[in-house]
Amino acid sequence: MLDNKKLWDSVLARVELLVSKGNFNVWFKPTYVLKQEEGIITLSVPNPFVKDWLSDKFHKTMLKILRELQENVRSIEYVISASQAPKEAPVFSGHMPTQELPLSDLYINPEDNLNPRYTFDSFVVGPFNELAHAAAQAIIKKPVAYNPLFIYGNTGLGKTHLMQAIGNQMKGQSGKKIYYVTSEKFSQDLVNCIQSNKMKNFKDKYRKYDCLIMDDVQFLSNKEKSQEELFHLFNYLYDNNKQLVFSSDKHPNFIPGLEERLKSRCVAGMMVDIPAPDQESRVAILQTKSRAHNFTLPREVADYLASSVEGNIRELEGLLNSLMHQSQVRGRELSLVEIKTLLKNSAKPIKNLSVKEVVKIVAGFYNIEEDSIYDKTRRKEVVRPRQLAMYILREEFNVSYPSIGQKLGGRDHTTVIHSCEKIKNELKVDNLLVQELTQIKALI
Amino acid sequence: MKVECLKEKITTAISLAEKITSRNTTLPVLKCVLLEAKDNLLVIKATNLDLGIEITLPVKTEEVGIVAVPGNTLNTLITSLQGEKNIILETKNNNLQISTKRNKTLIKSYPHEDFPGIPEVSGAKKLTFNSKDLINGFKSVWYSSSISSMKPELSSIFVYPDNDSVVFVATDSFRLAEKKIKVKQKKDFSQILIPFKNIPEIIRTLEQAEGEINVFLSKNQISFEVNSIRLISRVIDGIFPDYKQILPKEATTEVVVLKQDLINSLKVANIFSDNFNQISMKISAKQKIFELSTKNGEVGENQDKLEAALSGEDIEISFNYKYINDSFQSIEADSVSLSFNGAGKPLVLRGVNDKSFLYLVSPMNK
Repeated sequence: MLDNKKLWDSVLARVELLVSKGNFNVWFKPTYVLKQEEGIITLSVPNPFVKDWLSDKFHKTMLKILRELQENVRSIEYVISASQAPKEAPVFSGHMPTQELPLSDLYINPEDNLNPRYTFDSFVVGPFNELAHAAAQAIIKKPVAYNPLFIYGNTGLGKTHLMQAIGNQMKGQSGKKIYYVTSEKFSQDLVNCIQSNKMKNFKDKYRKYDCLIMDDVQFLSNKEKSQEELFHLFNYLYDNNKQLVFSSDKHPNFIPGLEERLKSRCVAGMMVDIPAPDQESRVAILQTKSRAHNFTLPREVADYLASSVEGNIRELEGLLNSLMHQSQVRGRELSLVEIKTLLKNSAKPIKNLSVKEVVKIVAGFYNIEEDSIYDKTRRKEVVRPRQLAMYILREEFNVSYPSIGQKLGGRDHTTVIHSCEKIKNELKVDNLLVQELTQIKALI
Repeated sequence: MKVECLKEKITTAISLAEKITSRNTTLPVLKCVLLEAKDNLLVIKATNLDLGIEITLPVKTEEVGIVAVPGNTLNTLITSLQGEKNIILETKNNNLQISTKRNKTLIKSYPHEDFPGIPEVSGAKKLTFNSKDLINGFKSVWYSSSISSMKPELSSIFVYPDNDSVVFVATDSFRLAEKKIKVKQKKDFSQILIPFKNIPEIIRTLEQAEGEINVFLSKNQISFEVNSIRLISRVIDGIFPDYKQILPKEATTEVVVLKQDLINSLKVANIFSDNFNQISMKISAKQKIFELSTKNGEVGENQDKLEAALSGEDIEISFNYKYINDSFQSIEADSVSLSFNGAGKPLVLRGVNDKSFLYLVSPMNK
């Protein structure tokens, strides 16, 4: 299949023979192919005049030429969009000395708070987020199929993208009233309304939506009044069969300072976890992003980038951006060696820590002597860190039970298994331990 | 075709349509107005592919038909025909012959098949506006739009409803004008962004009407329908910056001055302003000084003290003369208030006792 530009260029070349120069320049020159899907060519035209003109007078001709070039073409659709023509440089004559008003570019629709850039088209689906994507599609097709939909996962894995895409898609389909809000904005709104004595407005505002999307619920922790309002709002929307979508960086049960009644309501719907993406997905993401920027990313570079950053997609994007910038500055493609030197600083190397170093970090964290971990002592302040060290070695570094036992003072592998199980169970209930573990992980 | 009609009626119609013909010569047919004679109706069409107009006139049709002739030629001819009441338009060998009692003219035509249709605004939302309100709103802000095409949303007028008002906003990111017009009925639309280049023609057309006009709004187009005229314009499918966040809520220095005094003073000061039209203002409430000063290395310098009511902190700040002066066309009150917010912060200009108009100007870098 020819790519969009080549295909359209050859169509234009033939049309040019048929029409006068003036006609060609006015009607055909500013058009381009937006996409081709299943034999439908979507043509971008600058204004309704061109749309009408082409569809009235040249539809058949264009279709015929398109079919000659590409057999599977069935029809042409016209979309009015802003011209792609290079925009002129800013004119600054006489303006220079005046400061610019600090108008921020707003890409967010003020009515529903959605950013139109986040769509499913740009969302890369891989094994890691398949489930979340499927759940999202399900509620779009059949709202309240899962209510609420709760998406959780670490930062930079595409939760916000997915949620915004749900909003954008729902809006496009049925013209429903959608609202996207971050929990921070929600409580800010609440504070403002309390201050100005307009609680009724607040309630009315949030209750009129058919689908409420709330991002980063974890920031509501310890904000009692906000949680209470959310609780009532939740009940109201839920009872009226309205869709709710939440996201947070962890499972609601592990969000400290979140009220039980909210937790239980959150887990009542569909819970989906977005884990870190696998290598293949990371490569796919890189390729999609680079294509969006019209930047060709050689396969081996994509592989290298993907293997040098684990987990965070945002970090991947950052790397890709610096790479594109560098190659733009140098005016050529970068070789893999150059990329490696470039990324030496920004990319986190894959961790390869020895058991000893892990023990040192854990001991340092709990402020106990490193040696005591290897000792036979069963003092309480040592047992906990020792067990945690075993758990980390097992979960993070995949060291075998026997070798953990052996390295931590010649213990039996069953002791290690017991320790890991114990920590695992405690993690489910002990928030303090969860926090400690995250902090230690950050140190490693 | 052959039609006969009142000269007066067709003169207004042709002059309106002629304004909308294209000046660009890539496609010569766009310089034309299209005359289409139907059953006792004459439809006059013109477009520059940004705007399109369609005017329907009741006439006496003797023969239906269609012809496209250069708008400029036709308009100059018809406006120059003095003292005639009736006029006959007919095609002779595909060219247009215009005859009155004394005068007979033949204008060469263009192939009318090349003339584009004026698109219908499909799937549109219908709104009604008072034509005076719309004209007032557009006129109050449109000069503040950006002439650069870098950001289409800044080269547009932003219109949105706000409770019992309709708000018109334009900015080129150096100054901003906002006009609120009270309306009787709450309007049901979210926003309209109209390219400011189309505004003069829209105003000219709306001025033909008194009272209510119908507006049809769709994603890409807007049409204004008034009497027998239909004017369509492109609308921008974009998002205007959230300008409200930059509107200062308070002021550290306030000045109230007679508008005419300030205009006169500025006019004098501008003679000596530099290449950047820089005008410096010095305000001291304690010493009761409101002074404008300009300095041009080649021409000379000028200081001018004005009578004004002053309050707040002392301040020295410079602005572009042009930006300040532009705002007076939208301020009807006799006195204007200038609210400053410290050095480097934008100035707010308003008419005293007039909440409907607000003008924000960014200062110059020292």
